Amino acid sequence: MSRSIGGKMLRSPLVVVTMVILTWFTAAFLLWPNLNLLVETFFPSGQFSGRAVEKLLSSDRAMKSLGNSFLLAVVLAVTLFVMTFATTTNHLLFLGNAIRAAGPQAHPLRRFFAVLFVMTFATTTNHLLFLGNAIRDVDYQTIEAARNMGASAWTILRRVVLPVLKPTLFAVTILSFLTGLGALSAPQVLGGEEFQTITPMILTFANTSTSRDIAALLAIILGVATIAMLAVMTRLERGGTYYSVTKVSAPLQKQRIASPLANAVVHAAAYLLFLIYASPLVLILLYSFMDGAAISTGVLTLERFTLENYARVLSQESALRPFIVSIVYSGLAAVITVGGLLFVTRILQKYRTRITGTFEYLLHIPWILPAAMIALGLVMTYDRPNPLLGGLVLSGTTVILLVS
Amino acid sequence: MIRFDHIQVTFDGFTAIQDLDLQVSEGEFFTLLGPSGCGKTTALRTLAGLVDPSAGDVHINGRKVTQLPSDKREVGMVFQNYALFPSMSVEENIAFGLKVRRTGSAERARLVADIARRVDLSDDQLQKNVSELSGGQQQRVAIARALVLKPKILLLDEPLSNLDAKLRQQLRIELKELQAESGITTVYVTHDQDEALTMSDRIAVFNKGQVEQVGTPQEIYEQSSTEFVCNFIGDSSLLGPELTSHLNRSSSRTLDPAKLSYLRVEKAALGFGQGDGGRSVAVDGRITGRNYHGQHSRYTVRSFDSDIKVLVNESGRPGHEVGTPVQVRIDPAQVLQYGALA
Ligand SMILES: Nc1ncnc2c1ncn2[C@@H]1O[C@H](COP(=O)(O)OP(=O)(O)OP(=O)(O)O)[C@@H](O)[C@H]1O
Ligand SMILES: [Mg+2]
Repeated sequence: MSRSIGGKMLRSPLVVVTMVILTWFTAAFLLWPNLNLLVETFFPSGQFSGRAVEKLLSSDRAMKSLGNSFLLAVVLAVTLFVMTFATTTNHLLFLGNAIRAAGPQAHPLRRFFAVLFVMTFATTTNHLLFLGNAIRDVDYQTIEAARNMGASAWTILRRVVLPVLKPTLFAVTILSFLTGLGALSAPQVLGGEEFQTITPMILTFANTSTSRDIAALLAIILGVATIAMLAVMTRLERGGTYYSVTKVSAPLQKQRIASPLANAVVHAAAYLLFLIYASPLVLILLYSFMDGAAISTGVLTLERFTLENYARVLSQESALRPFIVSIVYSGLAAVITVGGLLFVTRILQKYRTRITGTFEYLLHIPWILPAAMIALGLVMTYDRPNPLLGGLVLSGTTVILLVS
Repeated sequence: MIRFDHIQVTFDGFTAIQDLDLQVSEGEFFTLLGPSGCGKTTALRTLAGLVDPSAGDVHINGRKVTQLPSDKREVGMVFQNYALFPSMSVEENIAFGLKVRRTGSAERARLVADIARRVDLSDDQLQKNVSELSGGQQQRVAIARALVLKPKILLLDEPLSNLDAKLRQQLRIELKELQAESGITTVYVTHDQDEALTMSDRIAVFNKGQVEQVGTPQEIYEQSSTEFVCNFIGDSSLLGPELTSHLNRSSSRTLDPAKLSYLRVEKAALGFGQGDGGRSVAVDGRITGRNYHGQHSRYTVRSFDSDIKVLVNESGRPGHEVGTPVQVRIDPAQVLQYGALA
């Protein structure tokens, strides 16, 4: 069976060409850089060496960033769990606590909380979407059935609703853990000197050739942690996804909240959440109309209102260029990726053999591994001529950006 | 036992139930019958305390329960889609209510085993996850889960509608037996007239949030009080004014040709015999259609201004060809008349 499919595959020239390109692409960009990263870190001169580990252990900054990243990841996961829990249940107590815990007023840990706060709100939107779907899948009649049998709201939540949401809840929690672990922009902008995390650290270390092995090791740690978490998640998912047993499930209905006070408070909390979500956008928009002085002092006044920023960005080439470049790059990358993947997926779907199965897994690498690890792997591998790319030096060229 | 006292239910301005006034006696198998969307489920949920009526009261055992929460009403409910807990095993599903009531574990196990035996669930099936059961088995679990709490009233919302025809027939009998032997007052919702007629002690026919008729299956069928009930139950032919006038000429019962006249298919017969003691009138017609159903054939006969449907048990004899002139015998006493002809 598999043999005959393989035979048919080899007879089509288009498929053969695609497979060759695919093999080259996978090897050159997905497998080799990451393997090379491992090799360079542990076998810098052809022999096993623990130097990178020693260097890492002795670097205060690096160790602290590691600790910070994991701390951020754990706390972000927990906060998210609580947040989602709060949203699921409209349970005010949890909601209040979550907001208070994430608030920047907690003084001694201010930096940490600022990062956490931003990340929570940046990531929850995505995850709440997942969870929202899962909640919509809960058969409302099961809740009514439980109520009819005398179960309290708490029992219904714990024994009927949460078990159904459990897989999604775990997935969402782990995903946010990973987001925390690989966080780049929030810690860089808000964390300052006191709060360093892995990914910005990797970039810092990678810039100097002497500490590049530390960067590599950090990237590997990040990668391994990510893979481990994903493995756990896959296990959990296989363990129990509960689909509604029936073909027709009743949609969840909005609960009327009996007490007018509770009702008002829940609504107020919902609007507050909305405000918090919306405020960064609004602020950025507002600030974009202010001049430099206003931005640095943080004072928004009407007379400082100006269109100059827009005029400058749109008229000066130096200001406009980065903007256009990033748009063009992301556009190109998206087109190439989507087009390429569509084509490849079709072929992989059409010819199901063990080889194509392996390719499918390999193509997931960029999704599974942290971006920082892949980028570093690419940079370290292709900053000198490499037979896989016909001896070209890629570093710093536009191609490598597109690949990423 | 149960009384709906001028119940009205509205959802955001839409009136699902208009003015429901019904009584169900102790031990009765009472059926709410009606087309989809007529408010049967809403009526049942109002009784279960899952929907608040906008007007009127619900009484159970002479006590007003309108304000009472669902679990205090001692009603067990089987939902239209069974609403089994997907994360629990069959056994845990059945034991859920007992656990909530803090029944001891030994007593719980005994009660679950007891009820499982009564609804024919094996020990093997008890350990399975509910998603591993067939529709018919899931239905048994739902019934067991409701009955294990020994409710005073059992509410069943179209419990057979998700099952195939054969199983439906079989479970109809089992359900009725279960009800008869436990004597539990049962309110049953269905849109299937056959189910309603075969299982019920009494039936309430619903239409657009209102009750059209309440009565025994025979009353509902033989003396349908409204045109809607007559059309919804059974199969009838509409007789035109020319035919009814012709019937009047040779019969003692005078029909009003200005009214809507219906005749149930099985009340018309083909042929010349006088099997019913001369009460029936023979009318001339011509066969315009024939449908073969195995046990019988259904003929359509054109006579005067009417298409008369006739059931014929042919038991192997060759049937009549389309176009054949025939006579149809009609007993005018069996004709049901409603309202005014438009
Ligand atoms: N929670 C609700 N919100 C708004 N409208 C509702 C709600 N529940 C029922 N309705 C409406 O009330 C009417 C009666 O619904 P109900 O479920 O009682 O019908 P039914 O007779 O059980 O129909 P079916 O045989 O399809 O189950 C329908 O028009 C339905 O759309
Ligand atoms: Mg219904």
